[in-house]
Amino acid sequence: MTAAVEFLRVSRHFGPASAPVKAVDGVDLTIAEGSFFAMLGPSGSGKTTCLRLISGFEKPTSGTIRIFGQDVGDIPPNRRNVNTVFQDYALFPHMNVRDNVGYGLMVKGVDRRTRDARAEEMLALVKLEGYGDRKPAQLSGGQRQRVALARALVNEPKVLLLDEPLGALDLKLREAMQDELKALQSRLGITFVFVTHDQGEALSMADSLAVFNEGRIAQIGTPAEVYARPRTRFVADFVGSSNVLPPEVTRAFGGPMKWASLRPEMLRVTAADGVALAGTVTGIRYLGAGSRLSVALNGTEVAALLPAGQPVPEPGATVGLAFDPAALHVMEGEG
Amino acid sequence: MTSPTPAILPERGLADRLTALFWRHPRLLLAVLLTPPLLWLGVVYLGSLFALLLQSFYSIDEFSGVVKEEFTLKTYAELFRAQNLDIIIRTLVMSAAVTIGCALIAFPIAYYAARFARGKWKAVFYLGVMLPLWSSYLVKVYAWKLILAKEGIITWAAEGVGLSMILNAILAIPGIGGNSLSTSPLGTFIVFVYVWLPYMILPMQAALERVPTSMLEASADLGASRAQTFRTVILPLAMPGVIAGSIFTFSLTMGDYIIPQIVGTSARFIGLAVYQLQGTAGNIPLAAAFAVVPIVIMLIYLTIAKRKGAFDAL
Ligand SMILES: Nc1ncnc2c1ncn2[C@@H]1O[C@H](COP(=O)(O)OP(=O)(O)OP(=O)(O)O)[C@@H](O)[C@H]1O
Ligand SMILES: [Mg+2]
Repeated sequence: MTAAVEFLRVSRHFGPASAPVKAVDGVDLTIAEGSFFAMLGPSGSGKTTCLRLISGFEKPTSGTIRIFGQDVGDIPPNRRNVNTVFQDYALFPHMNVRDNVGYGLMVKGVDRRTRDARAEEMLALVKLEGYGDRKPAQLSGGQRQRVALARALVNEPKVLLLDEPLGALDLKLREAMQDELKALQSRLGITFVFVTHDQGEALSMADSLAVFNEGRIAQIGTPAEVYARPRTRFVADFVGSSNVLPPEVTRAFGGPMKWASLRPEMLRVTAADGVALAGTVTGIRYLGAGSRLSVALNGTEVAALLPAGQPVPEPGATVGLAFDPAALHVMEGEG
Repeated sequence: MTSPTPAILPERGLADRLTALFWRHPRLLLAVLLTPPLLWLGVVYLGSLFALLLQSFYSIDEFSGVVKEEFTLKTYAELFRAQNLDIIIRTLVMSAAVTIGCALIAFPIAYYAARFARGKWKAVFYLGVMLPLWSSYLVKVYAWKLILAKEGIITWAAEGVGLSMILNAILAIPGIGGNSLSTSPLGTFIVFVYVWLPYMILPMQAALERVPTSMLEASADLGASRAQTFRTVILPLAMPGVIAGSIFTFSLTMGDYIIPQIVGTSARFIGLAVYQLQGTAGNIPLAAAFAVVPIVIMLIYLTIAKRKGAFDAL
């Protein structure tokens, strides 16, 4: 399998060399051809900068970027067969939808008839037949997002970059678009690089994902790996808001003297008597599909997920906690 | 639990009463704000424009020199006399040339200011563009007369670096050149471009500022070269600004009657013709007809611009 995109110790620093903002800092990365790759991380962690390094709008301060094996250090954006769905869509307001979609072909000198036909095909692909004559201002947010997608796909790019493309959509539309994007990706076989700060989105869509923290990759792997075996405290907390247990608590929970992660949904809330772990309920957050209890236990706050239908204890009540010892994941990484 | 602050706050006098009044009648504030300028625009400005238009349909009695107040198109027909047509064409060509000259010089400056200048450099830009507007128009024009004169700094500098040949060759071109820069149409052109340049730069810069960077990136991302991005994205999006600027430079040049008197061949332009006709010659109808020409030309220009889609990005 070829690597669609490779980062070899890539850094991008902004500002003065004396006090640089390390937007991307020594990143090593391999994105397999035809995969759906997600970049996940909090705001300001360097995801957008990484995408811009691939598309060529940023140049690395150091390191090498390869696209399909070729070093792109000297290749300007317009010669990289990589297209982007921008965060704000960046549709051309003075062109109608058809011309927006056909733009990539127009600049290649494709004649109007062919490119109008192709644009219509792409619009059909994103379920926007018959919208060709509208201006972007006459579309809803979700429709604009589809036009941006169609426009980016018209050139049949080798890699499609998507920068939080679903950020502006409401939950329902967002979920529908997630399914559509995923289906589109497997049908077209194009490598998708998808930036998001929504961990649910990343977990459900990606074949593999990289978790960013402060310009570095905290962990890279399949969603199942990252979720089940977070390498660092940061990953455990950011992906699925796990309980991050300090060494002494891990010990009290029956593990080694190390930092560990314990998923809230792995904790069962039981009656207080006759169990090893008992604590006081300090808070209850109603989630709809269940409730999230905060339990003070040995001086740490532990969150437990209580499925709907079970009796919800009062705040201040003493409850017991039980779990399968295999669910306690000891983390080897730092930070 | 009772809070010490009331749910409804007491009225604090006139300011609050007015606020309440305007809140109950939102149109009222608009009316108060707009009446004075609308009176000014409607009565004084449009009124005088209308009076002008009316005058242009009168004619002058050739023997007595008295204005005959009856409707006729005779005065307009006079515009097409060779000498008058000459004035119109000369003005039109000069205005078009000045507009294009301004646009070409203004674009890179406006582009730089909109896209790259930040903080201190932005202030430097605004200062640099505005500074010439602080000094009197006449002072600037006379300064240029000195700069362009035969004994002026340009001739001197050209001699110094051995470029006199080129300068003389340019001055020898018929229709553009002349005895010296200060007595040539080229000189008039240079001074016009200098004087009106800020009016082109500022609207252009405002328009370019509104083109988001992501739009330029989207264009490059889809494979466009810089030139293609310029032609298909930047220019159309900046067009309203370019048109606004060109309206300034075009109409200011068409109406000016001072610069052509001071710098150039002293061939007459529309502004000067109007000035002389309504003053010494006392031919108000013809002066009015001349004054209508720029208005008509601007209307034609804007219609064409609209047809060509120059305002699509508004
Ligand atoms: N042009 C720039 N000049 C200076 N600093 C920059 C620039 N672009 C990005 N940064 C900084 O680099 C860091 C990473 O930014 P980036 O846009 O990659 O974050 P992100 O992960 O995409 O965040 P978000 O989820 O908020 O979009 C931030 O601290 C940001 O302030
Ligand atoms: Mg971002």
